Amino acid sequence: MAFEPENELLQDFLIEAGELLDALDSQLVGLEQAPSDKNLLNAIFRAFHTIKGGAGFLEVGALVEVCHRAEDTFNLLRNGELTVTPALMDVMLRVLDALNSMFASLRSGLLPPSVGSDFLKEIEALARSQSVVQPPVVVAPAAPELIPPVVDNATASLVDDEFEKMLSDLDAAERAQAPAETAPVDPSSDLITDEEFESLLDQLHGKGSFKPQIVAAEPTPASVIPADIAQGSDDITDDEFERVLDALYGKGQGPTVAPPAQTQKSEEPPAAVKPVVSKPVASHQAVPPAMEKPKTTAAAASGDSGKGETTVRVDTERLDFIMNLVGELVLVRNRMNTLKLSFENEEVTQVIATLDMVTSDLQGAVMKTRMQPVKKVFGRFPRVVRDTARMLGKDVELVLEGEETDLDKNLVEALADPLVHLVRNSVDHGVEMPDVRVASGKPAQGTVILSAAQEGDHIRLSISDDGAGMDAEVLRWKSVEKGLLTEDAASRLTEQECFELILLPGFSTKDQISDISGRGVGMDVVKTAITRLSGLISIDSVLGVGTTINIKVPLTLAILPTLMVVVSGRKYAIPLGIVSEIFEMADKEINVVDGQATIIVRDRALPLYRLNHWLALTGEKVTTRSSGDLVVMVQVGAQLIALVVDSVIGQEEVVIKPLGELLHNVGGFAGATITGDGHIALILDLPGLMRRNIGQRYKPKLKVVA
Amino acid sequence: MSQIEYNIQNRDSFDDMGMEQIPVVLSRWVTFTVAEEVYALNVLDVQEVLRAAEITPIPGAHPAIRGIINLRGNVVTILDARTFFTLSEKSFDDDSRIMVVELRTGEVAGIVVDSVAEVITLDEDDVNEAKRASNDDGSEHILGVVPQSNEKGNDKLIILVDLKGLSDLAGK
Repeated sequence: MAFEPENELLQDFLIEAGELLDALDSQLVGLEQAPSDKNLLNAIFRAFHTIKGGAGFLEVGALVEVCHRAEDTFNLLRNGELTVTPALMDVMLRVLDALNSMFASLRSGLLPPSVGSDFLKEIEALARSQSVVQPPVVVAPAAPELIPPVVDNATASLVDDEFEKMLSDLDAAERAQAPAETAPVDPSSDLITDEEFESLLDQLHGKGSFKPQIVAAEPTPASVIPADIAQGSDDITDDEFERVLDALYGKGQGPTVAPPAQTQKSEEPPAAVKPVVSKPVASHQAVPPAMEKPKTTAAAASGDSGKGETTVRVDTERLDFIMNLVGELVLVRNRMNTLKLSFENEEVTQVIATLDMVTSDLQGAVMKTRMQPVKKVFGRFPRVVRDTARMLGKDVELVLEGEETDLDKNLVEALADPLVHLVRNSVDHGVEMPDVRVASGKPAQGTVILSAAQEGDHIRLSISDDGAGMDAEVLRWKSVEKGLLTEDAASRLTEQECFELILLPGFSTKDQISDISGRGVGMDVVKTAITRLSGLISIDSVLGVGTTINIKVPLTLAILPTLMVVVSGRKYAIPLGIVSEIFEMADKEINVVDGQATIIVRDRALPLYRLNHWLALTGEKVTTRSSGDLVVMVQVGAQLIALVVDSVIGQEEVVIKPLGELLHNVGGFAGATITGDGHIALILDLPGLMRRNIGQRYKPKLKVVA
Repeated sequence: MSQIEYNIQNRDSFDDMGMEQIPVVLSRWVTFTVAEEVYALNVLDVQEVLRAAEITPIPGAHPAIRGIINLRGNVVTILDARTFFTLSEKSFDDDSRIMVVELRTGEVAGIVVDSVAEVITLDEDDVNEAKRASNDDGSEHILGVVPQSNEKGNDKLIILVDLKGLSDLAGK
């Protein structure tokens, strides 16, 4: 089968193997902490093996050659013939990076190029570097141990670990034979390496204790082939293998460890696969899948055939569609609620109340289907921290909290990049070098805590480090030096506001630019991204103790709680998350400072803007102050501003409808929504609106906030 | 939905019109008027025609954009044909209609016209002839002009338009 980007099997493979890759990331870093964790080693080995299998079937050679070598290395690791070293981990993480980039190119429909023979040799060299450390007969004692339990429990079930172990041993056995089988089929393909040959010997030796004829035969490739040919081209995949095993001891027919069954397999993979359990052949004929041979991706990807089918994969588009429909329903409910008031009928009111309840429940339930644990994002951080810390020569421990917190899928994806940036910042800027830490009486190892928690209809994410903290005075001074603020304005900033200066574009406290940070771009990007998710970001820091960055994002992006206001007779929705206060303008004093109207709220001077000026139509006359004016205070970025509106209708949950492309260049609106009474209200995007209306004056205005 | 005056069947078949005898290919056009001129849009481009709808204005948008409407739960951008053809403005009245068309980008937009007249059938050869005749770049939305005699016998020019490229407006 040639490489076809549109192939459905490829898509399935990308999804399922992609998950394995994601898991590998944290597993590899975990392995560094616990180098002798057998389960972890086995899991990693299996992941590489599975990816290799699928890639082989899809004929993605570049993937196969890398996975194959990584698998070899991990086989040695789990057999205790190699030990985990930082150098080895570095190479393995690079392997993972290479795999990730290959997956990226596969996703975009391109056949990934090979990583190059140098890198492949480097991986191979790993295996050789320590392979003589232990006598190569490690598996042999393990195999006989397996026999008694199997025989004893012929009718009963095996203990899980034993089964696991047995499986992995078999796995190893089949893997060891793979090259042997391949060689004669295609002489040009990889020749058998020393390690492979050695481990082949091991395996044969081990199995030999209850498979006499193989031991009797010369354990060379040549001896394996005739058996292979004799059995035709019978392949057995992992999955089938496991199924056969299941079937065997499920039926109490498990007299041998190695599956004495063969699967008859036609060239067309899935349907025809049928284990023939009733034909036990004495020889170990579970011929492993050669990488060139067809193999179903289903088999390749299923690592847990034991689990029942309790989940269904649903296209996110379909979920979005359902979400939209529910959104419509919410609107209808809102309209019903509005209409309810005009009905005197109690029965109607009751029915509407029920509809209200059911709709809310439905909305919640549908939202839940889109939820994903935040773990999905957190999973990559051990690696991020490790890499950054290693590069900087720091020792940093990452603590993850609240990984189970659920978050809207879109948010999970959108938060990933900003969080990576913040965590890297914590390691780079926050945590000090080990010697500095020790000198200041802290443990040499720094700690970065990444936590997530649900707070009402928001999720709070926080990144805190026990590093040096930030000096508000330095930030204040830097802001003046960089020309972002005037000296006067800077001197009036509160400590908190000083910390938030780091969110401004062009602000960097590092004098040196490294390839990790220091360009003064990152935090601005983070802030923009968080704002786009209608989230808030706040920074707390104590000099010498550490820094905490808090991010608050709504649970979902699909439904937005807003404050409905009226401006020039038209309705607008302001995202409720940024509204901090509403009060009557009445006789509040307005001062004009530097051409800008300001209002004093609790001893703070806030810039005051009339929304009817900002939202005036061409040629429309705008009124100035009137007695009924209300002031809505909103938080835009780091500053509070006061907006004058004609009246406030109240709070309403709205479904955001994007504006058409024709309106894309109109700044200031996040979208539109259909209100409870069937009208349209524009949803204001205040940062955009400010940019449009204040334009270049936006930045200097910061001084007015102070 | 009282807003919808009529839905135009997008894919009318001509199978029962004796295609085997007449080798000409016909196309159907919806005619509408803007400032006394008759224009026509291909039936296939028109999704529906709306009577009055509440148009919510967008502060700061392009002058040719009247605003947005709620079309059965979807937000649809509404343009004004008069501003678009640089004609004097006219407020929405009883004859005014919104023609809902799908743009090349897949976006659905509405165009306010003075009135919608009828659906006419044109010989595709005439249409092609008209397209060839008007090859100037200045009027990218105008395909060409075809003469059409009405029931009273006097000739009238019908301007064939293609509004699929309206999305370019966003760039202006």
